Amino acid sequence: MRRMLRAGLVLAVACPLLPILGFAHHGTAEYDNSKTVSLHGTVTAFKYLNPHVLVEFTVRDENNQVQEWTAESQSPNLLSRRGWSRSTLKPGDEVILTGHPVKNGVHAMTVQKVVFADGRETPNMGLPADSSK
Amino acid sequence: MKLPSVVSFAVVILLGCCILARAQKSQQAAPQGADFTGVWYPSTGATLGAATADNPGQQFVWLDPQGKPTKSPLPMTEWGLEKFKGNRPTGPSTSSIDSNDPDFQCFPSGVPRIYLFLYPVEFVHTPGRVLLLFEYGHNIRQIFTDGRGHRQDAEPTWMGDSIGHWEGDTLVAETTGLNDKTWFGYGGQPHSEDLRVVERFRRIDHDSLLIDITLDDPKAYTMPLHTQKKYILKPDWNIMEFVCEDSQLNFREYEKKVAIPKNTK
Repeated sequence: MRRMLRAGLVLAVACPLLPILGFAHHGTAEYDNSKTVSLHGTVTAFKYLNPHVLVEFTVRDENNQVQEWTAESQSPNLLSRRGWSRSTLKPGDEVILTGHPVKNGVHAMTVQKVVFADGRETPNMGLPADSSK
Repeated sequence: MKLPSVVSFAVVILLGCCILARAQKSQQAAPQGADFTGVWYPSTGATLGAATADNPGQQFVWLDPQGKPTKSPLPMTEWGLEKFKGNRPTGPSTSSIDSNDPDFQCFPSGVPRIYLFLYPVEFVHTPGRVLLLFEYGHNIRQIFTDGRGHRQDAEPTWMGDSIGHWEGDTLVAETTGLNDKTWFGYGGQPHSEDLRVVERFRRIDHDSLLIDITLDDPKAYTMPLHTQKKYILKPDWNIMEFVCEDSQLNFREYEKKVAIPKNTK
């Protein structure tokens, strides 16, 4: 399983994730919300910056070639209120990122859930827990 | 005491009384129980408007004067439709980078669009004013409750001129003097400088603030439009820094990279 993940397991399934909310500064038209991908990658940079956090990571494809990916998340303001900080992810971390890929085929995606390869979870990346009250 | 001195003394006393009267008027406090002080977060839960929205946090559902949802696009006049055609909101074939959404260029959001951003707002009550400090873009609104009228002959502004008064525990604010450069939402809905926004702020319970919003812009729309927005009290929160212009530094290259190809339908 680990080897399969390392090879960049890509799942294309009906959207099980919540709609992307909070991408206030720009739209979400670039992403294909009908598809969800989960990628095993190695973090190369964690840019905890406004307006949206970017995770840069590498993935090995089925031919063991390294692909460079970028994942976009919410703003640091929203993530900080869920328990994230700029040191939650560090270069070298092995993680599985789940989100929606872009439509244009470049190696970029939203990320709505991050789990460390050793099974440790990261804080929720969504809106405040009681935001639908 | 010479006559001029007496006159001067009288003038000073009169002026003093006027200033005191003005100060007393401006220091009228909000009615008991009508204090919105604190940090509030926009709810995505059901309100009059959000109940039927696909994306309840980031779009309004506008009701017509009979209380029925309006169809998309909103009921515009010819002038409004013409302006609408010039707007390029994001969509299936329009990326952020190709949109002329004023928000993406970091202009202030205007009223009511500022309520569509999923960032908190702090309410501050001061004598004669209620201040709304929005985290998103650091927009500020001042609602004057000191009895003054609207600015006269003033150049329109991004966040407008808001005059308020209390009706029981409800703060009623009328905003005019808005420029016509902002949109009502991500869909590119325009408005004119004639836009008049009436908001009724009421704390429906300790932790919930309901904002009832009516727009009247006969130049751009054929009827008044009505919606609501709810906010949730966040006692432990502070307003944080969110500088839109950071996107110019941090984000433009990424937006170019993920742009939708031009020929996409």
